[in-house]
Amino acid sequence: MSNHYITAAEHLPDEETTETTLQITDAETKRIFEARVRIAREPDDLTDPRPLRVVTGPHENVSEERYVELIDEIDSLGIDDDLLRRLASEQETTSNIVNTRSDDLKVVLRYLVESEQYDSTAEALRKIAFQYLAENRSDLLEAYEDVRTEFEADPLRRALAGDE
Amino acid sequence: MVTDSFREYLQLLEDADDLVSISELVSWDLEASAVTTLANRNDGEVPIFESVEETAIDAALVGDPYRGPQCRPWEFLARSFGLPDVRSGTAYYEAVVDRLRSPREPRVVDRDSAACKEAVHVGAEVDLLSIPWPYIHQGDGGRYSNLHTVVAPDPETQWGHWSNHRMMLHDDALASLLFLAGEQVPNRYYYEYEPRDEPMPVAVVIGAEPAVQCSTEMWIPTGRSEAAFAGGLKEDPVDLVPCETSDLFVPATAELVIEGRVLPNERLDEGPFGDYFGYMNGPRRSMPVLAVDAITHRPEPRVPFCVEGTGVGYGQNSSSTLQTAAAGPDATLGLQAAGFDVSLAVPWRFTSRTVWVIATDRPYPGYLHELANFIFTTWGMLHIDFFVFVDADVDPLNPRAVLTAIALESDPDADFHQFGVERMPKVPLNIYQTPDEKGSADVGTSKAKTAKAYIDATTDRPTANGSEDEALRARAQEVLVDAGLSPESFDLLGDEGGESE
Repeated sequence: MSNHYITAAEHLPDEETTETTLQITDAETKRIFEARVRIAREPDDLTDPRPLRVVTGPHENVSEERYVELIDEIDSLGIDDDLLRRLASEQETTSNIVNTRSDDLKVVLRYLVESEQYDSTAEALRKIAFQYLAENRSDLLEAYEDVRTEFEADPLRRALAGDE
Repeated sequence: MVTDSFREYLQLLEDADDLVSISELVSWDLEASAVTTLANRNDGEVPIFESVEETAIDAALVGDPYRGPQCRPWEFLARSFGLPDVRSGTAYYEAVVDRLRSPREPRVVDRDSAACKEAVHVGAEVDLLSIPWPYIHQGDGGRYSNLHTVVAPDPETQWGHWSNHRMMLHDDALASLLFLAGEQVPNRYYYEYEPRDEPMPVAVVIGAEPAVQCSTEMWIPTGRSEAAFAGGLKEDPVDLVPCETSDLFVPATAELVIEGRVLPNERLDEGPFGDYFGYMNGPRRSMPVLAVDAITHRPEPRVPFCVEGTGVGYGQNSSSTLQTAAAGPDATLGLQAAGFDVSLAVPWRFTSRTVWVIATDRPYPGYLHELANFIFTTWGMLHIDFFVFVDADVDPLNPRAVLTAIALESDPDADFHQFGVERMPKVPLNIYQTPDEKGSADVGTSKAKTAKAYIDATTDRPTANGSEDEALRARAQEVLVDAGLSPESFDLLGDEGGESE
């Protein structure tokens, strides 16, 4: 990995130094990845600045130099594994109740229960939510499954995480 | 000898001193492509880079292995198909068309006997960047694989559909594919798999045997299999083997196979890339994502690549040679099979893909328009702008003969025809449309359409009748006898020749 990166002008945020997700290329290895970053024109505006070549134009043959600070690398398909790990870790010591308020939803869920399609409104909500996530956010569920497997396979890590 | 693997093909080149092995350390970052560019321009030997910097697996890069000599681009492929005595382009076309008339179904072999399965990496073991993919041109969006066969599902044949779509490597498990709507495999993804929210399984085959690489460049009729035409080309079935992670089959002797899924509703940047027009082409576009599930390979795989852009002008590279030596004979056969009196259909060698020259008889008025209409409506027309029709006795492989036909036979008023004005698709790689005209269509092709055209460079003079021909032949025989040849072998001499019937 080098300390010099490349990105396209079209990817840049409107506001400088705001935290954003950006696709960048490692200038040396040509590896392309997404990261949470901050961008600035002046290196002094960032804590850990590294040169960033911003390419533009119809054939991307015009460029200008800016600076980038890498905060977190993100999985290429947009799943932030570190965030998932933090949430999974926090979940070990907090309540697992999910709350929401909606008269309409409650009526529909009770209908499903009283027509004997589900045993309880909680069960209906669990199954419907997981079914939706499996169909529409399978990447998120798969990433979470990996995190859970990692946690369950590492009791020492869990113990240490609990001490923190 | 017919070669059954890419490695045998390289050996064939080496045995004839047409391959140079470079053992010095070479960088994948522009250096391998720079050396290959010089070889392409200067008609040098095909370079194989045995020692590439920062390679996790011991792979070699091969620069434009299918490039043929500038004077006879088809020569190396003719040798690999066991046609070493074929010298002229016309003879090569006739021999290949003849082979393609007899397709041979492929043969499925066991995994244990498949060379491409000698190393198998699945799941977490997959590391796409362990292979020394070249960074080919300054300004490319990333490292590329661009000389390969993409195997995709085809409901009409169990062997799948084979085609070539450049692939930009992102990280250890992801790449983006240039899928231009209008082409067969991209259409299957955009209009069948993605609307069903279903990933499309594909395999990217790198370093396939020459017959496979050639059939990948061909336009095979719907319902037929490139695998069978590859078998016809070498007069022997191609060996296929099942993939590790899908129901697809891949050529068993390949150097390297990447198995994966093209994910629905996911996009990554693709490009810029210096493609076959000879110019950098950008900007980057959002293209479908290949998620890699498995990599299988031979020990020390040979990874071929093409320096696109060096096959214009007098230079040759793999893609320009494959157009001349594979796409041309295939198109010739296709037009003949459709009932047209075409003798040769040949891509113009200096700007491959954009212009084709077709030598044909013209049996009735309106025939050329009918022929043009057939081609424009049935071929993959993203790449081709126009055709030049010449008489059947003009050699389309001879640029001087073609330009002479255009200059002498084409009336600027009557013989330049436009077709489908502003309604025909055009690949966004072209440099005559502005970015605004190309647009940023969701499915990857040009938003703005363009026209197609053809030039009628066939002769408009009435064909000489038999009596004129005979008088000319008789006169020629008299001259030859006057010059001292024996009159016995001539059949049209008058009384003074003493031998006429």
